[in-house]
Amino acid sequence: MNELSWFVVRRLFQGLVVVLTVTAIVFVVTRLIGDPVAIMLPLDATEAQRETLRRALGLDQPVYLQFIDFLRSLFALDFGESYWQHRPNIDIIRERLPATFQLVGAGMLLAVVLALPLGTVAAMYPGRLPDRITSALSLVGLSVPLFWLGLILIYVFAAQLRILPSSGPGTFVHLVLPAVTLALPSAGRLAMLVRSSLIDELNAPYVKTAVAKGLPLWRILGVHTYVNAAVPTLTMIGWEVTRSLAGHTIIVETVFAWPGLGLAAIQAIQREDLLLLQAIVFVVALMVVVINLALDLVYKFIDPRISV
Amino acid sequence: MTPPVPTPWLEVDDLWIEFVTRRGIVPAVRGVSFAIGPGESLGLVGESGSGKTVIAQTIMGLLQSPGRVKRGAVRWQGKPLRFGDRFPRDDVRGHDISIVFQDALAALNPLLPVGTQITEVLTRRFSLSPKTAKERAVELLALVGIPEPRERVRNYPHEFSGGMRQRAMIAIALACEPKLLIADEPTTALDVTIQAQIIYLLRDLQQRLGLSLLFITHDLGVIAALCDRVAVCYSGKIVETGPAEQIFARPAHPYTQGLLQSSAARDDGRDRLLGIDGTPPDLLALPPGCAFAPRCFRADAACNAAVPPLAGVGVDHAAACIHPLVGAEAVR
Amino acid sequence: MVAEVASSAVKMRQPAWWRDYAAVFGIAVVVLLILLAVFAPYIAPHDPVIPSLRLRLKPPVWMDGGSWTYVLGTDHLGRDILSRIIHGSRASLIAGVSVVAIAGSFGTIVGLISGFVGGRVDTLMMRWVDVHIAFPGLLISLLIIAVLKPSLGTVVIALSINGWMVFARLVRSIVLSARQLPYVEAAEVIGCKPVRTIFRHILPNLAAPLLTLAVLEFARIVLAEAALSFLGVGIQPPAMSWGLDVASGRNYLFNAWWVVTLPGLAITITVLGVNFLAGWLRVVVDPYEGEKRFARAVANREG
Repeated sequence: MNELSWFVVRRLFQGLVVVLTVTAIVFVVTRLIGDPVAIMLPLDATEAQRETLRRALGLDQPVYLQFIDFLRSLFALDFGESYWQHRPNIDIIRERLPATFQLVGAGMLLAVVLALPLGTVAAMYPGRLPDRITSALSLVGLSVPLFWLGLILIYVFAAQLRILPSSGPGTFVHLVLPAVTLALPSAGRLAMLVRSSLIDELNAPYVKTAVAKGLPLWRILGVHTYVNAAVPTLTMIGWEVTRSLAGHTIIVETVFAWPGLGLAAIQAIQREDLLLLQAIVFVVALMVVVINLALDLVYKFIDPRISV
Repeated sequence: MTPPVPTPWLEVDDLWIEFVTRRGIVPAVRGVSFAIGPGESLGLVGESGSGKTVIAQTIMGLLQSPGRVKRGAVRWQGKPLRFGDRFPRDDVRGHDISIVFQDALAALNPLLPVGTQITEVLTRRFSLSPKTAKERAVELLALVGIPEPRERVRNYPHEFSGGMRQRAMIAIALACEPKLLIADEPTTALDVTIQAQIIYLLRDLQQRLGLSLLFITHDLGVIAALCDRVAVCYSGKIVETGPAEQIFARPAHPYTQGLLQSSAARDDGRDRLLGIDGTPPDLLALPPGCAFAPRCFRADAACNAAVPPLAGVGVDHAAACIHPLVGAEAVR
Repeated sequence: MVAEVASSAVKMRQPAWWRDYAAVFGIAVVVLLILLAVFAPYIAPHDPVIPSLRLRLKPPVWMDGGSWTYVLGTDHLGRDILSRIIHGSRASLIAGVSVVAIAGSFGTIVGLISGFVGGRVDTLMMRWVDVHIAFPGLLISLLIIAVLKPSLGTVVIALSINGWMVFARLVRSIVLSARQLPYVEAAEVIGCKPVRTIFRHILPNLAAPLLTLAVLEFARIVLAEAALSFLGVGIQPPAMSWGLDVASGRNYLFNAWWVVTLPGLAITITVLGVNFLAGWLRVVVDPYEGEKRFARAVANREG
C-alpha cells in the first residue's frame, strides 16, 4: 500500500474516533443525564405509556447493550421516528439538507470571495483603506451577534429599502440576506487571517529570493506567497464551514425562517423531539469529519512535506 | 588576472546605511565605496555585524525597513540604481545582477518544485516556452553539477541535501544569465568538504561564463581561492582594500593581519582565535577615532582622535590606518 | 515611505493611538458592565418586568413621541427598555464569569496534568481535546439544554462543557515550553518537587496569557449566552437577558426597530469593549508585542 492510501486510512480512522466520541457524548447526554421518557412524554402520561416507550427505546436493557444498540442503529442510518412529524427522522433530514447546503455554500463562497482580495490588499498596504475595512469587518466578525446582524439587515433591506424579502424560502433573492448574514462575520475573520499570514509570508526569506529574481509582484503574491499561505487559509475556511454547519446556520435559519437542518434542530427542541435532534447532531458530526478528511488530503497535495 | 577596466560594471559610491532601532539609529554602513569590473571578483570580508550583508542586500534592492540608505549611490554600468521600494523592479536586478543567499533552505520556496523556481525566471527573462524553459532548467542543474538533473527538476527543496540545495540556488541565480553574481556567505551553512565543492564550482562557473563576482564571507581562506581583489570591512567601513595576493602577503591594517592570523590558526587545527582580542564596537557608541583602535595593539592617542581615511600603502592597495604595518611587520 | 514599509514589516493591526483609545473604551465598558449588573435595581429607572399595555412601543426620546421618562423607549409590553438593558447585563456577566471560571479551571487542570505527566496520559487527553474541538459546540449545547431544560444554570453547564479545551491547550503548551527553559530544567534536575516548580516557575509564565485568553473567552461566552437566549433555549422569562429581548422584539421589527436594535447594541458594545480590552492586555503583558509596537511608533515618527 502506498503512502497516500495509508494517509487516507489513518485519517479515516481518526474521523471514526471523532464520530464515536460525538456519539458517546450524545448517548451520555440523552440517556444517562436526562430521561428521554420524561422529556418525550407529556406530564400526564400514565405509567403504562412510560413503560411502553421505555421498552421501545430499549431503556430496560443494561447500559452497555443500550450503547451497542444505539451505535448499530446510527451506523445503519436508522434514526428512529420523529415524535413531531410521525415519520422517519432520516426523511426529515434528507428533506432539510439541501436548504442548509445552499445557505452554507452561498455564504462561505461569498465570505471567501470577499476575504481573499480584502486580506491580500490589506497585507500589501497596511494602514490604508482596505486594511481599515478588513479590520472593521473582523471586528464585526468578533463582536456582532449573528442573530442581531440578521435582524438589522432585514430592517434595512426589507423594511426600509424594501428591495429584498425578509424571510422564508423561495427564489434566489430569498437566499441573499441569509447568505450575507452568514458570510460577513466569516469574511472578517478570514480576511484578517489572510492578511496576517500573507504579511508573515511576505517577510519570509524566499520572498527576498523572488524579488531578487526580478519577478513581477503578481507572481510573487499570486504564486509564491499564496501557496505558502494556503494551508492556514484553508484550515480557517474549513473551520468556518464546520462552525456554520454546526452552529451559525441554526441562528441564521431561525432568523430568516430558512427551512434547513438548523431550523429543524430548533423545532425539534421546541417539540421535545429528542430523537430528531440526536439524528441531526450525528449527521452534522459525519459531515464535519468528511470536511476535515477532505481538507487533510488537500493539505497533502499542497505541501509535500506534510506526513501522516 | 584582468586589470580593472576604466568603466566598472558595479560601482558602490560612498554608501551610508542606517537602521532605526529602539536604542537609537545604528549606522550599519558608513561611507563604503568599491567597484567591480567585468570578469573581476571581489571578496568582501568581515565579522558578522560589519555591514557586508547589508551592502549586498542594498545592491539587490532588498534593504528593508527599519534599514534605509542615508547617502550614496549604487551604479550599474554608470546608471544609478533605486532603493527603498518594497518590490523593486528594474532591468538590472534579476537581469544583470543576481544573488545567492546563505541559507538555501530558507531562500527557496518550500512549496514549489526546484524546476519551477528556475523556469519562472526563464519565461520572464527570455520569454521561453514552458517546454524550452524546462529543458534549459535541466541544463542549468547539470551545469551546477546536480546529478540526474532531469529527475531533480521535479523535486522540492526539502528533498535535496544541503550542498545540492546550494547548487540549485546557484542554478536559479544563473538562470537570468547575469553579468555579476553576488554570493552572500554561500558556504557558511555547509560542511567543510561541501564548502570546498561549492567554492570550486563558483570559481569554475566564473571562469567559464566570464562572470563578475562579489563574494561575501567572514573567512579569508575562502577568498584566497576565489577572488582577485579583497575589501576588508570593519564596523561598517572598508579598512583595507587591494589585490588579493598583496593583502595576503603584506596586510597593512592590523585588523586584516589579525583576521589572517586567526584564519591561519584555524587551518593549523588550533581551535582558538589568534590575533584579535576584544569584541567589535557597539555601532551605537562608536569611538571618535578609528573603530578598531580599542582592540589594536598599535593604537595610540592619534588613532583615537580622528577616523583615519583610506590611504594608499602600495600599488592599488589602501588601508585606513594611521600606523599601517610595513615591511617585516606586515608578514603574518 | 519608511513608515509604510516598517508598519508592514511588523504585524500591525491598528495605529498606536487607536489602540490606546480602544483600551480606554474597553476598560470603560467592562467597568460599566460590572456597575450596571451589581447595582441594577438602584440604577434602573423603572421596573423591568411589570407590563403596561398603555405604554406599548413608545419610541426613544430623540424620536417623535419619545419622552425622557422612557429614554430608550418601551417594548411591546410597555416595559422600559433602558431598565431591561440594565437588568439584562446581569445574565451576561454571570454567564461569562461562571463559564470562564468553570471551564478555565477545568481546562487549566487538564493542561497542567497533560504537560507535566506527559506520555500516554498527555496523548490521550490531547486526542480528546482535538476531537472535542473538531466538533463545534452549538449543536452539542442544544442537546445538553434539551435534556436539562433551559435556564441560566443549564446555559453555564452547556457552555462550560464546550469551553474548557482552549484553556487546556494553552496551559499545556506553556507548561511544555516553560519546562524547557534552562532555569526550570535546572530546578527539576536538582530535585525541586513538581508542585514547587509549578508554583515558583511556571505559574508566573502562565498568568498573563491565561488572563488574556480568559478575557477573550468572556467575550465569546457573552455572545453565546445571547444566542442561546435568542433561540429560546437560554434564559427563560421572566428572567432577563439581552438575547431574549432581541427575540421578543423580532415581531415588531418593522414598526418599532428600537426594541430589537438597542439590546443588540448593548451586546455588541459589551463584546467589542471586552475584545478591545483583550487586545490591549495582549500588548501590555507580552514584551515581544511591546517591542513591535515601539518599532511602529518610531517608524511613524520618522516617516
